[in-house]
Amino acid sequence: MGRRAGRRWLLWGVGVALAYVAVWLSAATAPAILLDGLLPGEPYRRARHPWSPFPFGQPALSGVASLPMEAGGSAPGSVPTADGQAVVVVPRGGFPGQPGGASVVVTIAPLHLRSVPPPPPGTVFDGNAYRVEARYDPSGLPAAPARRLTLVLSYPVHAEEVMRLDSGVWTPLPTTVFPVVQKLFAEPEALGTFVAASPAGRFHRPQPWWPYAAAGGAAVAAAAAAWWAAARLRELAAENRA
Amino acid sequence: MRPTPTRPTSAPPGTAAPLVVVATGLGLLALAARPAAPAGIALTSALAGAAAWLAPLPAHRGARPPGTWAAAAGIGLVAVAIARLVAGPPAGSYDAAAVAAAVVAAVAEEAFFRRLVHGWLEPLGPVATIVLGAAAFAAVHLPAWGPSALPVDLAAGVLFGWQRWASGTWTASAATHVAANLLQVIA
Repeated sequence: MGRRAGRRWLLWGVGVALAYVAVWLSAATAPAILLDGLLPGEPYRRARHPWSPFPFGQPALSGVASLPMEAGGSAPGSVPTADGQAVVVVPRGGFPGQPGGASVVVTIAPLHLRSVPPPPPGTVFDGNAYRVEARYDPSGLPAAPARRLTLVLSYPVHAEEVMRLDSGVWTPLPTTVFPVVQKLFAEPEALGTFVAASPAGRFHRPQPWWPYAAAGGAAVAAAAAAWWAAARLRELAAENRA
Repeated sequence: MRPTPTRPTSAPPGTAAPLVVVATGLGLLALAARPAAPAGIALTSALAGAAAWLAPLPAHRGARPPGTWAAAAGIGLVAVAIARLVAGPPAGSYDAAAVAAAVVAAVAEEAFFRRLVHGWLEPLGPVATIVLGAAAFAAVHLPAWGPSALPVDLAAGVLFGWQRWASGTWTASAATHVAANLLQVIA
């Protein structure tokens, strides 16, 4: 066996690893590096109404981050709220450069649902509303994205779409739903106020019991079948030896 | 390709093949229908992983030298580390139960796909084995994550399959899978 042939397996591995990274970089579902074992996290944090006399539970938290300017616009970056319930992912050049703007400051603020217009008929909100703003620093002028951003919103019960407040009217955005982690992904072309929403009839849909029973039963049966197969093989081996 | 030492099986594999097919099918169903709660994920994954661990394999290549294992594991770990570095912080926070479930699920899935499924598909040749194993791996994640997750999980399945083929054991891909899951849930 030649030296080159002996190392071909390693070259295949490097190629496969590079392909994985390339696929991940081009995937619409970033920032998860392996869409596999992510699980529901802490209880959902509700935004408190400014006048609320009941300071119970953990309040929803805001987020802020500064993205420096580069030659082609703002640097890429991820802007999460401190509790991780809302994340804005800005691609490279997401905000255009502007004189007097050394950086762009992106802020995410949770809003109590009584602070925003009601949902459209037949729709219910699930979770807080979030106002996403961006301003150039140090000029303080508002910044508008030049490219689509990625918005990730967590929801506490059941949501199917992200809605944006446009001139007092909630507009649904194309949304990808990840029910296991209870997150919605959308790619808004403009900033503003966003919220997770669901058709009203599905909001209180009870969790079905059958997936639990099917998964548990199948796993137990699989283990039993494998155990049976292994035992049968041991018996045959013993008979052959005898 | 390197010389491949063959590990003999303890009995004719054809005898147990129907049962293994049943176990594999039920295991795939269980992994695809896993409940979303950490305890449900951990328990279902552990049972499917136990089935894969118990199931007999046909004659297959033995483990390669430790240096080969280290190279295979290292390439996988570097790949997921690069992805994590570019990804930024995890989009969420996770408690200890979620972290434990992520580790259990990773080990169990590797035992299932890279030991059981890969072991029985290996006579088809490395390319078919790796691709079919990756397709099955991606398919069981579809119910929870949807079709948009397919490219990433398919690519990850190919990476894990290559690690299994190169190292001759499923532990290299298990180490990478555990690292990938932990990098997603730990800030």
